[in-house]
Amino acid sequence: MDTANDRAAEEQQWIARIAEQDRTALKLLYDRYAPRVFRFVIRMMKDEARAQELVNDVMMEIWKSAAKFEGRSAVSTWILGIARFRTLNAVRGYKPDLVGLDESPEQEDHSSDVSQVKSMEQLRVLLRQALDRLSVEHREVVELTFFHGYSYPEIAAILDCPENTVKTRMFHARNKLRPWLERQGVSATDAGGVP
Amino acid sequence: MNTQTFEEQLAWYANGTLDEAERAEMEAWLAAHPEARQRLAEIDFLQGTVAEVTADEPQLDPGGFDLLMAQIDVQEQEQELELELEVVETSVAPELTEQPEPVWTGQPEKPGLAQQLREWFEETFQWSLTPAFARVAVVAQFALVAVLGTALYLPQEEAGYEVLSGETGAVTAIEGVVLVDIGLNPTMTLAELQALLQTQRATIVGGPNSLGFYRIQLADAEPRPALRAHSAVIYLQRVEP
Repeated sequence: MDTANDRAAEEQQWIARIAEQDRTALKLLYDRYAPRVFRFVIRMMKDEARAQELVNDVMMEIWKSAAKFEGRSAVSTWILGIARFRTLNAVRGYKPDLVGLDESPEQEDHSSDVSQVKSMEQLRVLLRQALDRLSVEHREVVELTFFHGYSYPEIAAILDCPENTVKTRMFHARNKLRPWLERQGVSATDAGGVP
Repeated sequence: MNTQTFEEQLAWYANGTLDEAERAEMEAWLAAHPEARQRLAEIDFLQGTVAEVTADEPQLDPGGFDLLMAQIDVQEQEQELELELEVVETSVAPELTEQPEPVWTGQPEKPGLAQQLREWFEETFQWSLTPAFARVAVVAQFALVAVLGTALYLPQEEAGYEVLSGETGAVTAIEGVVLVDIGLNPTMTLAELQALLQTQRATIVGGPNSLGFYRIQLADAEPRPALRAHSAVIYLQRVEP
């Protein structure tokens, strides 16, 4: 049975082997985490070539510093923490087009479509566009929660911030998205909930 | 927990990571607040959208791991090369090699022999203030002392005897020649000595040495008994070839 505890123990063993320069263990860890790291990075900075480089930068850092890993956090938390740190460094000085949702020119266009019936896929495409306009701080909390499935204490460890900060950022991210969702006509029924 | 807290934790209720106690409280709160279901539905929709990887999103390069291995190889080769260069630089010109920052070990560092010698020179001669020609003179003196001192330890040709004049006796035992070291009474007069030499057909060939002995050459094959019995002779020893 591959429980979360089994996986955690297995990953701890891999890290111990990597600390002894075991490339096979690095391959196992790479196969499990590189796709997740890549997904996190690419969604934060939208630069495929740079994202590929950053994945290898993260893995190289794991290769070099595995001996220093003390196991005080889960391996996955440690790896995503490295990825997040390097991603923030990469985007430092880089100012993405963070137009406020309320100021978004597309906002008016789509608002005029409220009466139109949209498919779920259309709604998701529009929501992704809205997510891209969130700040880095809000976006990373959303990604770590809904794509990577971390708890708020785990996200606090990855971001190296208090748990309440994580909750607050999620709250604000939702508040920025909510008006857009309502204008798009996303209701409990659309989302598969109970009306 | 208040409404604000429930609202803040709703996202993690949706992703299933709240602990049992938090989850039970959340479900009770949701049951009591039907309006919150709308927000939970929004979160579910958001979660489904974020969790989905669409076909137009870039994918991780499948050759990424091979590239990583190549990077590691290059880095290790560079490290090995740096180590080799450090060894070469240290062996060729240690003074040119960049020294690492000293690390405080809690104990004073013990200077090496060269350093101690340098410090002694500085304290004794104020070496850094001494003119160049004076340095040469001092070094030359030390070199001379060293050479002479070394010469004392070299194997010396064995002298037959020592003389007060400082000259070593050039006459040593030779095949076919009878040599005798002879000690004479200090009260012996020159006339008595000449008479003794004439009667014994002897010739002084060396001495006196530090003990006052002379080396004489005899015409006969053996010292005559009269020589041994002479009252002025206090020492008589044949020099063996």
